[in-house]
Amino acid sequence: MVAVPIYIATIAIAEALGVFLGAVPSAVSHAVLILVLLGHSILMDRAPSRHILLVLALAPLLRLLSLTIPIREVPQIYWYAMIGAPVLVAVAATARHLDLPWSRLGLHRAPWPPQILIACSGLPLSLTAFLILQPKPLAPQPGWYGIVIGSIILLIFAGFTEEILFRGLLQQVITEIFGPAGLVYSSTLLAIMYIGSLSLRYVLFIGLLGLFFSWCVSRTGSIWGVVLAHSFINIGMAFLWPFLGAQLNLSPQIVATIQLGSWLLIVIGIIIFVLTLLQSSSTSSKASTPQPVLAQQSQFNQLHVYLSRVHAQYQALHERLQKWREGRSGYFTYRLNIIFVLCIAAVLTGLGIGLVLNPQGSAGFAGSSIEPTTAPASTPLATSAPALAVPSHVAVALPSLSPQPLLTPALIPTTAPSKTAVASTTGPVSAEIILLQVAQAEAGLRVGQLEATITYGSGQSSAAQVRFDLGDEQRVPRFQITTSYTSTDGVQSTERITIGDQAWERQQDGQWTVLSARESALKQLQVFLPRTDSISDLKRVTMKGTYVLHWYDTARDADVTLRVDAAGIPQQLRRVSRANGLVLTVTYSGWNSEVDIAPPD
Amino acid sequence: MTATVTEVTISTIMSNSSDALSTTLAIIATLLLLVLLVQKEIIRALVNPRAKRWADTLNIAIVPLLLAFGLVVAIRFTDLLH
Repeated sequence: MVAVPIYIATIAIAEALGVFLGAVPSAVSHAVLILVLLGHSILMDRAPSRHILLVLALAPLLRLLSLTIPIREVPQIYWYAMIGAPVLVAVAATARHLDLPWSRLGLHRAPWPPQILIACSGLPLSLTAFLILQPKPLAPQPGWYGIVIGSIILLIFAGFTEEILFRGLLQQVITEIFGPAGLVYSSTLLAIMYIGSLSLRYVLFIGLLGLFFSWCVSRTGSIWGVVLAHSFINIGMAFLWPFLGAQLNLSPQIVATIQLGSWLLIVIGIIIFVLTLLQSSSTSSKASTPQPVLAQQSQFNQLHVYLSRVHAQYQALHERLQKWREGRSGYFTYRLNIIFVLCIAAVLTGLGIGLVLNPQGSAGFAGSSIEPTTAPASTPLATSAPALAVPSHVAVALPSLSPQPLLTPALIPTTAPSKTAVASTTGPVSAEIILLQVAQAEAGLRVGQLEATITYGSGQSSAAQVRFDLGDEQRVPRFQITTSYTSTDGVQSTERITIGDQAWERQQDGQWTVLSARESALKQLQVFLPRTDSISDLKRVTMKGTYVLHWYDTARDADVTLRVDAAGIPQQLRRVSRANGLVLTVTYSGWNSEVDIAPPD
Repeated sequence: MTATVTEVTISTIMSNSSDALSTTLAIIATLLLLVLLVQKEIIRALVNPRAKRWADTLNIAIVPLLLAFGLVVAIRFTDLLH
């Protein structure tokens, strides 16, 4: 069944199209792949091969649904249910079509102690996954009701759905042909479906995790344990670690140690997995042809036997390919050529549409790097999933300011005119173009200073003076904030300086204390920037020497007014929260003006 | 982050041009659904003992796509009413 790796590779390319060219080319490729896989399965006569192709078609179907169903106005947590429900229906229809009973899908009752152990592995793995990807929380401040509902949704429509698809269905049918190697195929496909996470490390992690889960299912015959473990990972990443991590204030050394320890655990798990494969291979060999000598061989001898078998399989494949090259196997050549042509057609269709829609080929989400968690020094604003970094009382005052990714240069439409072209135009300039200028100005921001005030509904207020230097390859990032909080008890003032990974804070008594820098300069600055990534209902543009934009910020549930100059440089930002009436006003007094920030004496 | 909702999904839906993108993606899914339905009708017209099995095979993609289509239409309609 040479077609299976070809199809898996094509799915990987279709996923990569989504990262590098955008959603539309990826969706087209996946749609064509669905047609090809279903058509190929109809033409197949042999049952196991036909079954594999049918189940493989569910992967592009999952991606197509995940790109088409979500609606911006619906909270993100409900997207899982909206996508997962049709996918579950597809899984059920496939299982019914293939006459697979529940027990063969791993849904039967199994001894609970090993399942609980497997489920518990999800807790440490969840922390590892969080530290690798560092995603933003699904909701800024979920209450208990939100956490419970969210957890149930993630359990059913993420954990259960993905496990029943990749472990219950795919692994079941693929191991019928490929044997233990089927575990690798199913894990690889799962990892491929995570390419859209934009993190290569996370994709590798998911691949290893998939191998571990596949091994657990093959050993126990039940998927309940891995369903719970998978759900714990998702729930931990969505609701637990983003908030608990901030409370724990883990130092970088502890984080690195946890990551290393978790990786070691995974490697040990994989070694156990390989040894188990060898053992099962040896056992099946003994069952078919009794070889009493093998039973007494050491593990190394068994490894030798296994490698000999792999070598023999490689030779057989090589001979087959040789025959194919020589044209002796006409039928095989014909079928394989058709598959190749169809797969290439699927990719080229998506690629062509991507290039037609976006000739410069930069509408994808990867930008210059596939690692969004590591910002390149030259483009410090091109990060995603930043943690909220605000001084303590400012953080209290800004509950609705959830961390959101900045608009990265990769997301800026490339067909829009350049800044100079816009500046030289006469007549009214559209709001979209001004927004584009603002996004470009944000992307080019390196140093500067600003003044911010926060007014509470009760009449109390905070004021902050911020100076920052985001650094480059020679300079470490620097951030200085002086805040004064006015209440009925008087005025309290503090100052914090962050230089690289060091921080100092001045208290009321004037004493400086040394802190470990929890957040980078960039992360602390993001709260005060006019982020244009969640704009809705952009109302009007007025011209009085400057432009004034009004919009509704869906992510923060706030009304925003932004005044910019003719070149698109922000002058003043005013953000009014609809939830609690907080008013944040930021005046950008020095946009890319040099500042000098030195550590305290 | 899951395979169901990835960063690409989130970025697509939350982008400034999400309305145009959503429309394009919906058209792609609808076209696929139409092609599958046409295929199914053609297969059903065949005089072949295995035609029913082939048509059932296509149902694996048709049913979820129909569900998704209905779901999105219902949500949009509700949104309009509000």
